[in-house]
Amino acid sequence: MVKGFLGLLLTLFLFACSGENKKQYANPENSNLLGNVISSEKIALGEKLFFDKKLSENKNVSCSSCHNPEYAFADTVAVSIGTNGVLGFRNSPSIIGVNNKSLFHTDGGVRTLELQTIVPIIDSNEIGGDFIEILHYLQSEQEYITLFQKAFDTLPTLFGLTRAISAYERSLVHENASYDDFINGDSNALTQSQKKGLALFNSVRLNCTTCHSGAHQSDYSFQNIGLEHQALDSGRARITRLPEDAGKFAVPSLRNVALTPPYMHDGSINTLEEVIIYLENGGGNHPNKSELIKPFHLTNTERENLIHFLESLTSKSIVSKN
Amino acid sequence: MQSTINNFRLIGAVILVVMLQSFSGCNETTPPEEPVVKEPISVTVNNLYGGSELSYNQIYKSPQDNDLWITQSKYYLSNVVAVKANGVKELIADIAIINHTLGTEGLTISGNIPKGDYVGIAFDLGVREDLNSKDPSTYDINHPLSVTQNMYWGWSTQYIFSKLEGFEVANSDTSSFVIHTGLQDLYRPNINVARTFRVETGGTDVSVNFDIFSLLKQSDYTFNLTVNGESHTTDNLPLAIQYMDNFTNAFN
Repeated sequence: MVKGFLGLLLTLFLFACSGENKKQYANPENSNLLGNVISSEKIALGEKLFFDKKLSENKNVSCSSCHNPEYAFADTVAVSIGTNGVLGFRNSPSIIGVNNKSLFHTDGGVRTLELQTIVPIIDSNEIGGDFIEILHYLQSEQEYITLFQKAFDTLPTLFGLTRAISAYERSLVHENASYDDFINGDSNALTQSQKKGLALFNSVRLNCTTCHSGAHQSDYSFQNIGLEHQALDSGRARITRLPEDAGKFAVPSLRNVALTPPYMHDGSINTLEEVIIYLENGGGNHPNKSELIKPFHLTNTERENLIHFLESLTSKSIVSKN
Repeated sequence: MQSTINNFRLIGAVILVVMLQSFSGCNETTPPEEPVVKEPISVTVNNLYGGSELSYNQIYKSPQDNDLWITQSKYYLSNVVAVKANGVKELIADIAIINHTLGTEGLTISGNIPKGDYVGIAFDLGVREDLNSKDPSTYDINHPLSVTQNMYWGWSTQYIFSKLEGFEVANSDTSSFVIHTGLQDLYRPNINVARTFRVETGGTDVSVNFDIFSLLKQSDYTFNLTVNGESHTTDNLPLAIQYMDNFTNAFN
């Protein structure tokens, strides 16, 4: 009884401070503040949206057209072709492990993965969808109505679309690369050649790990490795408008790198061997080239070892995990 | 016994807290202020070209006397306020999009402000900084900041402040012009349009004019769109800056 009385008093106390001026008005950003909590329902919805070509202007491309699961959610061309048959702007990166990034696009112009999902839909050189049409489409399909209901307890919304696609993308993780097994104690997981390549990768001589560090082999910094034709794409400077950032691009993760040729932001280098030779030569002559890019020499065998090591970063399975 | 004493001590403490709370700042104890009666106001932005009502695909004359027609005119205004003679500003709308494509509906800014006499309408050109960082997918599809307005730059996750598109014919050659401006340092605050009006019961309509010819031709800079008529801001920043500067003087 005493406890009941105390509860009543506390309720009165709290009520006394809940005047009109403390009322929480609906704010479209509130849902953002809560974060995009990943659930299996959101992932299931996001997966369907990710592969749905009907979102595109001409119903001919989807997210998966440029982020193909067969190629570690990247593709095999320098620059992908969008819904109108026009080339996009940059090489499609793998999106596995994208949950670990804090900035998106190789120039870092996009602040969240949720916002990033809007970009290809807006861009007529990519998906080029009309958001009003997309919403009508989603609201007319029973399967989507059911999936949105499960994921958000609402009818289909554009907010839900961005959260579901990004939830699916966030769920994509790389698993069971030979390198991981090796790091986890299986000394036989890497071949001798791969072990030699790993030693080279970690060596001061090659200096790879200054930028390609951590579990994803990237510190996600912005670096200029001297690609001369970067004049066509100002990279990080497009966002910061600082001249010294011209030609800087985000350091990519090397996970699954063997599956994602061609390389560089513009897909201008076709093979891993060519990338290594480019770096052996100290990169190109861009005036903003990083001081970290210095020539080094590898024998043919060493180069092979290094490539074999990079191949050990390929996931044996790519899974969607809640 | 000791337990009962403790319970009474606890009850006493809670009562004390409640009493202190009632004396020390709960807003219910503040005498209610006289409610301010607000009345509706509609501000219509008349889009003009050379003093005539703008119509898409209508042939006009450019500042260089070439044939010119507009295919899109769309822009954001932030902090739209009515200004009193003493300088007090009454907020009509945080944000509005002026979209000529939508006709009257796209040209009207609605709000509620206190009754009284006013001497002007003021606003900022562009999307103010706190709104410019919002996620456009979080808004209702009819909201000015919704992604459905097609005024969002995904690559920089910011809004496009203004779009002007059309064609001009010079020396028998037809060329398009496209000027899309954005980025926070191109935000232009405090554009004032003098208007004397009284807000009374039942609502008030006020109009301001925006003239695209006036945007193109100012005393210190005249656009020649066939020579320099394309900017997505970062690719031709000088043109974008000049465009926004001229824009601020194109209202009356």
